[in-house]
Amino acid sequence: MAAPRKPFDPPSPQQTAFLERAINEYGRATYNYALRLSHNEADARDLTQEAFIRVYRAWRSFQPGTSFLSWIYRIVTNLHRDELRRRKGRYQEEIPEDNAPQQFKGARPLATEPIEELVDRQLSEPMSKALAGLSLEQRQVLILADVEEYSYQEIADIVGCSIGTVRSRLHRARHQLRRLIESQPKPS
Amino acid sequence: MKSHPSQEQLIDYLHGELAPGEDAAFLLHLEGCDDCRGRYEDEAHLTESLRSFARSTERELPAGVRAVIWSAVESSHRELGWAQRLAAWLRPAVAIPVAATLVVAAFVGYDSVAHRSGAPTIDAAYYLDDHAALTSAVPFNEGNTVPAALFTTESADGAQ
Amino acid sequence: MARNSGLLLLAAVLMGGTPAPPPPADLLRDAMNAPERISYVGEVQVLRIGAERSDATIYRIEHRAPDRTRRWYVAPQDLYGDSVITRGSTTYSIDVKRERLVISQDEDADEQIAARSNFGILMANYNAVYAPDETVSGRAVYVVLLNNKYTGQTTMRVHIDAQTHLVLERQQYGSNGSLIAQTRMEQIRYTNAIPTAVFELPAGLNRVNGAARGQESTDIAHVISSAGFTAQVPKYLPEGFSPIAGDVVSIQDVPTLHLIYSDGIRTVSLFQNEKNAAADLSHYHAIATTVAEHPARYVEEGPTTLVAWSDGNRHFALVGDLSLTELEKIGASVLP
Repeated sequence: MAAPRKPFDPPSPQQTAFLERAINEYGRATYNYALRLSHNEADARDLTQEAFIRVYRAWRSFQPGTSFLSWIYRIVTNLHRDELRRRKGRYQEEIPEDNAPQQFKGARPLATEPIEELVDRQLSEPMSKALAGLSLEQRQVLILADVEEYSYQEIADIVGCSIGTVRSRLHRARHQLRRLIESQPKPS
Repeated sequence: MKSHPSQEQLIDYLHGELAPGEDAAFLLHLEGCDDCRGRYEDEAHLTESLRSFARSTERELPAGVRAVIWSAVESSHRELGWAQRLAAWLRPAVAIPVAATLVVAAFVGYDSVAHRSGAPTIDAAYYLDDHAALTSAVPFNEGNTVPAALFTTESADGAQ
Repeated sequence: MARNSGLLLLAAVLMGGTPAPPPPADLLRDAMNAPERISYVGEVQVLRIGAERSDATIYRIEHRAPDRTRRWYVAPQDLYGDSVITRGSTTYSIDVKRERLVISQDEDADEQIAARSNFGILMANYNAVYAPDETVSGRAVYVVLLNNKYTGQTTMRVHIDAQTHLVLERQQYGSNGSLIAQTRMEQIRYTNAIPTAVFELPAGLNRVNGAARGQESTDIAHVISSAGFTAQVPKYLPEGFSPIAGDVVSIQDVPTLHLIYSDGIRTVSLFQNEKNAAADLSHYHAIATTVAEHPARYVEEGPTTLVAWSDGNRHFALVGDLSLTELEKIGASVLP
């Protein structure tokens, strides 16, 4: 995902402090947005890293008084779209679970504690599958409107389309999501 | 609003995207129309399910992500002098915990001397929290903005 | 009945008219009770401003009249994703990071009742006057100033929605006139259709019983007599202050008497024990001072100051949004 980067200008304490504050205050939200968009932990990490590196490079272009989160969500949205375009046509295969690095022998990381797995499986699986069944455009708009609670105008700015497009994508996304949830087998 | 709203209007209303007059007329219609209220609640429930899902799958920012960002930033400044690098290293995330550790150590040192008698102590947080909680009895005061339960550890949950 | 009043309100909204303001005291009383009849969603920003540091808390709120509320925290970062659900007198604090649900019961059943009874103290000590109307979150609001009758200072500004009478913003000022606290509602939407599911508790969390608060009582004499030791009370209080509540609670097996005094807006708490249990200030930046020549220490937490001192085995802590000088003066009057 990493593209060749231009050399940085010499850093200033303000630039470093800006990045520090941005990561502290918005790192978690950005990572979760990337996770919801990509449905993939590795991609979410790459997207978050790349987005903050771009924030650092372009820090002077941030307008005080505007929403930082909208800005970084726009960066993540564009990076994700570009990445999918780049991958398009390439054969992709899910790596089986037991191919994952085995450094957690015995002690598993918190994110995959059995209790959490259980809760996630019980509560979230139908929703997770349904979300994965939406198109990228639908998922973007649905997450921004219903989870992040942005206005149609803000979503249009983040995604780069008209308000009318946001509205119609959202309507279709909700219709499709409901259909996908209802089509899943009910737990016995 | 005489006719029943379309599904699109319901969704726009749910997201606060109707014009103010339309919004109020819509609410008026919902007040008197059980069918539309049911449809609205279905849509609201879908939104709520999405938010619950988002909450239940919320993750912390992995520490590795932070490290990669800083390492990318710092590797780009490899040519810089040691003074600038030291300044970068002493950015708030590093400097504050270091300073805080020193301050805490100083106070722990002080208090361990002050309390050698073995008498119990009462955490000042308890007093501050209890004061804030009881001020909710005063008009236009909501008391604690955040319940202490979200801040304290189990052992510090206070009174028996 | 509730539906009819809702319809009348909507009719007023649709006609575009802003109702003529009632007398400010009536408006304040109505505003205090508004959450019992008005349902809404919005985002609340709370600022607490101190000389040393300030805190900002932001939460989304969903309130369904009369008594269901969910607050979902957005900031500070430590609280992101945590939430608090209140159902009547029970509060559920949902700590997602520690995967636990803390259940607290308010033994007094209804803080609104206490607030109502203290409304008289507020009106006895403050003049309520209108300032020019403003807007908050796009809503027309009446602005009521609460001016202290003794000092003439404006202590609170309350911004009340002209149509629903819900408080949308309030600002509190310190004795030097500076802003010390502000609570502001953003993106308010009135809706009667908040699904019940919003107030349901998430599954899969460890349930923990929260700190049991003592049963507060307005019968101060009874509370003092039940402390199990001879309590000291302040002989001096700022003008307009009177005792409003008290309780006795056991903290680490130390019976502690808590008395709270107020003038209807400002409050001050006095804690005392006679088990030689000192206040532990090790987590704060504590500064030395004196209370009637006794060595004391104080800490500032936003606009709130805590002063702690001892007299033999008797330990005191005084907490309030008053100046340090005022607190020291009250503290000095507590000592025999």
